Amino acid sequence: MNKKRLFAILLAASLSAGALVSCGGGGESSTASTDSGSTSTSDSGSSDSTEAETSTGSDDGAYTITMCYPAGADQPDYQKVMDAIDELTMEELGMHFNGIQLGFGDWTDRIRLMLTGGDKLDIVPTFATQASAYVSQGLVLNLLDWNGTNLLEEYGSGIVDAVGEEQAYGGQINGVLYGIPSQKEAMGTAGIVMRKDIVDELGLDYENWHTYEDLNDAFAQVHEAHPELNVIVGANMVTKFYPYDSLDDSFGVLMMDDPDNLTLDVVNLFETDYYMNQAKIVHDWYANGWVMLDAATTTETAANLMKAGNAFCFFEPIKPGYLAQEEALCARELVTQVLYEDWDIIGSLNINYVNWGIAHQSEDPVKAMEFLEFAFTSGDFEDLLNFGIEGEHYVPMEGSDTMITYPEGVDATNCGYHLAVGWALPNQFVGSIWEGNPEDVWQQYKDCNAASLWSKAYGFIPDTSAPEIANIQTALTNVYNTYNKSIECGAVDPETVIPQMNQELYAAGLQDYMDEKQRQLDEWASANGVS
Amino acid sequence: MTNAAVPAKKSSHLLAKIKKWTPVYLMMIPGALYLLINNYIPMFGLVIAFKQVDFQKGILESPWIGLQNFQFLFQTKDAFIITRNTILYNLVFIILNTFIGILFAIFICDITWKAGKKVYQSAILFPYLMSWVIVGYIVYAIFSMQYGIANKSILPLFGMDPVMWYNDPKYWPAILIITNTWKGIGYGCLIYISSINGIEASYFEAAELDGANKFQQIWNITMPEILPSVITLTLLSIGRIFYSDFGLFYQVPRDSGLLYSATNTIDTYVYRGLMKLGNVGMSSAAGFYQSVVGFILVIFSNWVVRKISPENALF
Repeated sequence: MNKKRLFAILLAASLSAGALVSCGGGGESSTASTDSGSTSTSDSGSSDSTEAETSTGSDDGAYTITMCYPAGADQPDYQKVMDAIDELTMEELGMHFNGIQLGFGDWTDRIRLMLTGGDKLDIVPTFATQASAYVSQGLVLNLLDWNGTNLLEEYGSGIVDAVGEEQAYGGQINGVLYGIPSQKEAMGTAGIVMRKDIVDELGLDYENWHTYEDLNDAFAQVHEAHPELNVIVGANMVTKFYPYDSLDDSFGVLMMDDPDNLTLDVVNLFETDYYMNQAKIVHDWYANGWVMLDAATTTETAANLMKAGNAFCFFEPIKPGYLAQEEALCARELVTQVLYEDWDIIGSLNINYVNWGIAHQSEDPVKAMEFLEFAFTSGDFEDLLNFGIEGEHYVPMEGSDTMITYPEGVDATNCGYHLAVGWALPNQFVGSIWEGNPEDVWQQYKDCNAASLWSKAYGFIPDTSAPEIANIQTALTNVYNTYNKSIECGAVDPETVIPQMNQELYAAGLQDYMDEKQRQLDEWASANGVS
Repeated sequence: MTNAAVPAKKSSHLLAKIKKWTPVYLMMIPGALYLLINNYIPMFGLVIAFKQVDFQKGILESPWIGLQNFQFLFQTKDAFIITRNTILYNLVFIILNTFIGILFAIFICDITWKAGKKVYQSAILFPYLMSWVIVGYIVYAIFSMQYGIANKSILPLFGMDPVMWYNDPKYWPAILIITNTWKGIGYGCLIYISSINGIEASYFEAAELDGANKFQQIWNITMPEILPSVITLTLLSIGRIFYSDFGLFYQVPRDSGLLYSATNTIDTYVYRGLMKLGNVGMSSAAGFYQSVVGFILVIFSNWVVRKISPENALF
């Protein structure tokens, strides 16, 4: 009996100790594992294999820059390209290069783990929605003040010349500059994407559609002619087109539906007429059987549903060169129509999508800043990382010095390296342009961004890290999650559910939260001369 | 026996003891080291729950903020719902898994056909080895509102209208309990099978000679013999009563907001609330709360067991 008892005690001790320990990183680790469980993790292998190589190649005394970046699938010629980049950085900067490619499915979780775990890392992309958390926990360095050194001005002034002052200094929270935004289109406009065969069959006159109300007749027609189809698929239909700046999390926003009268007044989005109207229309669609019944719970992308022949249309942000990319994904001919043209809005989040900064554990932030400057200004680096080695993975197109394409006999299926994620890398505007895009696509992006309606709060991100504010934010997030998906896909009646949600939001502290946001915004505005 | 001989005898006794037990202690070292490094040293991380962590200063230098990290767990009306859901579901799971597990174990042990016994035993364990993501999709295949088997094939057979499964929480306690029992039963069953197999066959033979029927044998021999395993497993489950199976409560209802009143538990609440924030302090606070309450519950239930039947208490 005694031995049995001893065994039992040991077992109990080890199990309860295990239970205690699991709390250490509890939330964090479960986040990571469940996320990679629910999304496809085809890419995680590549990054693991690269971490092992971190220590190689620096025996000549040169500093090794470690940079992680998001990209799609595994690249067979990954090592070859990394060697080529290493050669380039040795020549230009006297530094070695170690790139860690992360999959899109779980890159934010992996980066957070690398930052909190203290892996060797210098250059890190910060996703705009994570910025507040990274800055408050000191996971990334302040580029304006690292132990008294202004890294950006002293070692990275080339970046300011390359992207302009407004963008270079745009990514700030409470005076902490956490990164430089990737150069990309701001994706202000969105539209409806439809199957061309059905549009032609029914003779739909889509060029005159501008609002949700204009879609009703066409949707009814499609539903009658093709009852087997979901007329419209996709998540968040209510706020896909939005005349407001979400100020990071939609709890307290700046309405921008009157372009001549932009304000700095924080209001509750869920009490606006805009929100209620859109929600009612979408609910009617759902009630009419036009929306996929499982819209709130499906994890299938709209493009996949289109490809499978289950859907007629979906809403999507539209940018120059969009149609070619989407037709390939949906494997059918499509037509698009931009809706709500006036709501072409750039809030603080839109353009600060991915910001490149320096990890807190960087062993030499000065070198890291020099490298960042290089990454934002070197077309060779951009092309190598994005499209691989010239002559092997891409060749210049005849008669053009900016356009590139696959070499003879190589295509998407057998190319050894082709990321094509310029929007997620530092500065695609200095790189080459892939075949099929307009030759002046970078200029179009820039024009597009310039023509948009810029929020007065552009560049402002609230700091929600103070414990009492973070507590409210958690409670608000939980209320929001309870109702959001079903309102967004029209599954519930907005006239009863939205007031209920508002009541719960206020009970969870929405007013205090908005007051705090307003206070920070006013402070930011007076410091930056915005009125 | 003279007085002088006593110390000598004592020391030789001690030597003998050392000689006898040293190999055993040596064998314990790897396991003890593992426990120390893997389970006890990281407990230092518990301080994170009381800090506002700043990685540039390091954990020790970060400022203390008292219990503020814990606030989010208790401040809204959700606190009641998530605690109620977590505890009630776990209680039902403990009772059902124990009861059905023992029942199946007894059935399986009475199968005399060897190959069949193996097949049943493996079949019942198989769902336990499946990932919750896959189980979630199986449930979705049945209950998907547009394409699911239930709405497309089963309900029409009885002339019933399609049901909006993922929009109405009232169906979910049943769905979750059935899913969990189906998936989890194999593990407990396996342990009960091994304890039943450990009972001496002569007990049953004697009982049979005395004319005891099958039910009397189960009640008077099998049950008392496997009681220690039942108590051990139950105490361990009680220790984790404040933890919920994240896969079950997150993957199976497919994170449908309308179902939260029936599916939100402490773990899913913490996950959803902190997903965006990524606040290390607050997630540690949640883990701290769960493990400390679990620890207290284990001590308490063990104390109850000791009062009733000291033989069967763990410690």
